Amino acid sequence: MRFKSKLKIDEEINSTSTADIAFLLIIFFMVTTAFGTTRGLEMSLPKKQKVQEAATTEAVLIEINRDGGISLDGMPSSVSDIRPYLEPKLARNPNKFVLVKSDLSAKYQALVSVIDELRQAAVKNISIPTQREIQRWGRYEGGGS
Amino acid sequence: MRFKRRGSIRANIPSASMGDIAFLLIVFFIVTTTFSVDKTKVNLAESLEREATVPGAAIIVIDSDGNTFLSRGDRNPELRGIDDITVFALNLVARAPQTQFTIKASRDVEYRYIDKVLEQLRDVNARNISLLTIQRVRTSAG
Repeated sequence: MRFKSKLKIDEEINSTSTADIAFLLIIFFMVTTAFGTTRGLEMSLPKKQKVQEAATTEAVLIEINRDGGISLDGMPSSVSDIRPYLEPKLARNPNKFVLVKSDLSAKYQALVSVIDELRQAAVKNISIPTQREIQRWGRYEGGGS
Repeated sequence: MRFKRRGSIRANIPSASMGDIAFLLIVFFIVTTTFSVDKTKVNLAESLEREATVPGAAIIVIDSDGNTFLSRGDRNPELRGIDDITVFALNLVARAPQTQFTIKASRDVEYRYIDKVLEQLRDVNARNISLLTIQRVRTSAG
């Protein structure tokens, strides 16, 4: 006599909780990590000879004074004047050096604003001489190129 | 004439693919995000031009009071003296001359601190630096 099997068991792995686990992991990653996209102004520090070259060639001098005001080759100006002043010079010489000399008491934002403007003007050679270098080459202290 | 109902439809939403979607999202998060090592709070300078900095770069933090924090990029920056940058940078540059240094300075800090940092980095022949900024909103005046 053959018995008829009444109960049929579904052979299936229950995957309902997989999504719950996965979403828990997603929440963990969202909370504990941050998008790695810190941004800023990239610069390459030159070799010492290069700085000397910038100091000795005909360069545009941008001075930042203690209250954040700037002067272009000795003439009092504003940050928005930088591009119009540099464009004809860069058209003649795309590798024109620009020296940025900041007062020690000036705010860092003033320097960043000037570098930002120079980047927008597509200046390739920006030189930021340190105080020690300025003292060493006192010849461009307080004067234009 | 009455029709006889033959089968019943089971009301069931298939959830098997839910796990696949969720794991795809996890892979996306793993690939696109990094654990933020640096937790220092600094009021960054603003700029319009910004490029992505190199992940894992050495970090030099200068807050508005001129306090200096240094990190090799693998942990939260620690408070150090500004004159310690030379030894800190020299160790890194000696091992890898192309080491990237990220300067994260407060917009209100005096330039004298930045000058000291640049001077020391130049002394040890560090080549690649980036000045961390936040996006400046372009005004109609430019």
